[in-house]
Amino acid sequence: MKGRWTVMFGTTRVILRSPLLRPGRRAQLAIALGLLLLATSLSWSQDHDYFVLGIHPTGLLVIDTNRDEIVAQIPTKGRSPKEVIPSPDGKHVFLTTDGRAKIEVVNVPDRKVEDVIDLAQPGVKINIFGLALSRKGDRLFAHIRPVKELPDEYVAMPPEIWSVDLNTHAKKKIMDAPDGVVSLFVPADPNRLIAWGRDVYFIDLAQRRVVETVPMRTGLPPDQSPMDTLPFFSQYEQSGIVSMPYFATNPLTHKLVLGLVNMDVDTGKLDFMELGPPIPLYSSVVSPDRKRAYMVMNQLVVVDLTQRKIAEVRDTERTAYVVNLTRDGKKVYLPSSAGPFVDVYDAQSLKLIRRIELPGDPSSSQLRALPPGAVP
Amino acid sequence: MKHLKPLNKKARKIEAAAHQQADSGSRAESKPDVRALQAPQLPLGCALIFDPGWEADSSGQMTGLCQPMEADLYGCYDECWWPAQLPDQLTSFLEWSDKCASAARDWRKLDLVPTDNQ
Repeated sequence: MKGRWTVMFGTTRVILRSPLLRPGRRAQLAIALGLLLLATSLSWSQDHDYFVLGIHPTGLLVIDTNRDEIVAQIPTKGRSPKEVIPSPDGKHVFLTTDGRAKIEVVNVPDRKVEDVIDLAQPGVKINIFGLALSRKGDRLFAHIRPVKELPDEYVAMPPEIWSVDLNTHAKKKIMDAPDGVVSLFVPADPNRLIAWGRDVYFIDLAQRRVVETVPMRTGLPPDQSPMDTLPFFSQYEQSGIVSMPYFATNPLTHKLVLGLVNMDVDTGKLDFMELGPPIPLYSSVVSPDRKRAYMVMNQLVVVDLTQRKIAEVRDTERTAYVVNLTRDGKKVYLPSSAGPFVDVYDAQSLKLIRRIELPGDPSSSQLRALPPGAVP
Repeated sequence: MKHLKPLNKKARKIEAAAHQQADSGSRAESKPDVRALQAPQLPLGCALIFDPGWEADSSGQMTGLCQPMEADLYGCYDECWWPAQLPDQLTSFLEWSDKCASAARDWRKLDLVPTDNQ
């Protein structure tokens, strides 16, 4: 079109039209503007996060943390997403839905469920407690609790760990799992899988067995008391540290104590720190610089990881199961367990700075950040 | 009740349980045949009194419960924390909350759940 220049970037069309500009200059200006937009957009997508969060009854939300707004609502096939696992490129998100019975593969840019993976055998109902993706993004691991449905009774069968090859869709049982596992994690070693339940189990995928156990509730020496964790709500992508509050009884004073256990996901190395008298807490997350941890339930509790002690306690309006942080560590996100909203706190002052209204309750869905560079 | 003969597995279990109750000595030696279908432990913050539930936390108070405790409906429904007190999503009542996106806002849209005597 004569005298009119357009530059397309994504879905944005920039039109240049000016009689004062000669064609050559228009072209140059259009190219320069296009490059500027490209650079701005790339840096914009690199330096802030998108969170994904399941909501009631059937939905996955994408939240832009720059604007603190919902940018996409993707309908799911099943109800109440719980585990939320983004792929390494951020294009797919794996969810457990329908009472943790199925795994849904959500294509985020296309805004649709691409596949539903069912690990149940005929006549057996399963619930998935623990879902993890290999670091290459080609293999999914699931910890399942099968229940045989007979005409007049349910028979609980031993829990199992399965893998799904996402290229061939081949499903394979890896092993029977120890009782009580709730979460799975993939360390840097591609031959290892970490299962967290009553204890922490390190699994050799080639040998298909537990090769190391860090005792927390069983097999402890007499001078150590069992530690109780709730490994449902693990958000660790911003720091590489899985973090959980634990509760134990001091064997000398017989008083209940609160502690924090942090695990480096790459190495599987665990760090336990006792923090003092108990505060009811569900979950925690470590800041990207690994200097602070934020724990939640009815309070937002900040732990100074350098000094290994509680630095601040702030009441929240309602209970939160889950907490996560932005990649720059500046904002803390608390999806409400008891209402359709996410509260955003300033990570330093702990002031409530924003409430993002949601179309449904997030309840106990995980809140996970898409990987850097992902543009949903 | 000697004239009744158990025909299926459940009836045999009931009869066995009745025998065990009659004999306190054998009851003390018996092993429970119950396996948890969910996480093995409850968090410190959850109510620890099961009947009828939701009254008190582990210290006998209410500060350790979810706030407000009524609005924590889906937390318990989704994960089956309190299957005796409200419908559970893991096994029996998947559709219970399909019309109710937010428990606190839309609770009138929750479905009714028939009980055994209805």
